[in-house]
Amino acid sequence: MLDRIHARNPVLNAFLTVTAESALREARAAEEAYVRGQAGPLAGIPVAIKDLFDVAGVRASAGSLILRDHVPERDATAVARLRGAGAVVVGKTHLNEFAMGPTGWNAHYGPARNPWNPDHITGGSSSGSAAAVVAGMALAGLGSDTGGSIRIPASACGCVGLKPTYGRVSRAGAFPLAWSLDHVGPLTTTAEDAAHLLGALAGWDAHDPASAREPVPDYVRSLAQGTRELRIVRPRSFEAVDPAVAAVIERAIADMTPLVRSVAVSNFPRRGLFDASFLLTTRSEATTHHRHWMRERPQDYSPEVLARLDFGLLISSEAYLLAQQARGRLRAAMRTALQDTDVFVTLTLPIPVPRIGVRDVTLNGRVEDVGSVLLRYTAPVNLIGFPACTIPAGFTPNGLPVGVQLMAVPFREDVLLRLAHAYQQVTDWHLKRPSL
Amino acid sequence: MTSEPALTDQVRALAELQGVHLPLERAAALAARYSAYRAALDLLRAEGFGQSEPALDFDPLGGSASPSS
Repeated sequence: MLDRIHARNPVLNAFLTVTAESALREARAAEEAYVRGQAGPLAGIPVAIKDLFDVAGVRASAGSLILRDHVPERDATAVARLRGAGAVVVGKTHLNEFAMGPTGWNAHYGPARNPWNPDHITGGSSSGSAAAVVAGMALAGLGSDTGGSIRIPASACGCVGLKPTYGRVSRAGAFPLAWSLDHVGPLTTTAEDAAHLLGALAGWDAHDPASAREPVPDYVRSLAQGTRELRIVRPRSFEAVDPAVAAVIERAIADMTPLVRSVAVSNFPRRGLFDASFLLTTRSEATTHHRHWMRERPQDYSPEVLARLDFGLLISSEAYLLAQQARGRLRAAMRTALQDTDVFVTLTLPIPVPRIGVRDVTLNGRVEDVGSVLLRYTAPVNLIGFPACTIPAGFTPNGLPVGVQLMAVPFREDVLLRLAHAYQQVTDWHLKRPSL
Repeated sequence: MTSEPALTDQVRALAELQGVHLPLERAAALAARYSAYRAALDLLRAEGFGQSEPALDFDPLGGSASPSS
């Protein structure tokens, strides 16, 4: 695995730090635990950790210059839980500066590159974790998701990306982007692997005030329950979606149809409210957290990230509070859409994975900012805190992956994983590998 | 907030009040995006938030009514 990282990372830029020595130590310890019969459920599994999580003794840059020399003393809760289950940390992965952005671009550390075609973006901000999993440089990745930062790169690179329910996995020891939108979750090759990782990660943590006390089910065992009784719901139509992507999603829904009890049609709540609420919430919270560095070290931000943070200076308390009220209405609307159903099936990204450096795309004859388009179907789920995952469902003609997104009501990650697992039993998109 | 130079001055003053000094170029760039902020705020106002909605719930999952119910 380490040899593969050394061979492939110069091209893909998936890792900012490789922890080869400690990884070998941890692997030996996992082997010894196995011999003693004390191996954890993730014994010896190499994991790639997004570089905004604290790993004791290893730089946690958050993709920034400001934190380029920051070396935490303790593991983030999520890292500690993975290690506690026997996982081996092989390195810290690339991300957008301070996780701001859905592309995998970073002005300080260069772009991460898509394993299917290094001229294309990985998506972000958990760019390196997705690229590492798909390029075989780790068996699993740890990511964070504020507007799609797990699901977007998972979709763009071709792996499973799971954003659990808000509060399901502790954020303690993870550098925040927007407190009320931040989620932590795994990136893996299969839904079954995601179930193993979520089982290790989930559960209450006193160090995260938003941590949930809901019991943690056995996600792996629940996979065996099958999907015959599940009811899925899909959007009536796909609004402003590239036809090649829409074709992949339609085929994925067709493949899921015989696996479930019923397929219904429903409308997603209006996009305008989601967009306004997300913009005001994420920028306001991010700027609040960064204000001291905006005053003292503005020169250490890239101009793009500083411009995003500046936007938060405009936002009044009224605007922020109205956005929170809108979230209540949107949450209620999504509960209605999911009433009498189990899983909402939709797309993850409405466009084929763009080339690195492309700033605008044309959808339905309208020129739009790539970043906004990438976030369109993922950010709404962060606003309402529901669990969602993306799974590989095919490719567009440019040879880049497409992910289908599944969403359920809070704390029903088990049904997402069951449907994803069943889908992966009848398709082989998740088994396809880029030639590197 | 209407004419561009005036808007830039106001944006700059707003940032200064928050302890952030914006050089002219940054302030102008931010002023150019004021309309995006205003559009989001106006949309929420037009929807009646702040007036007719029930009490604000800060729990992103919707409080005690939310979990697996």
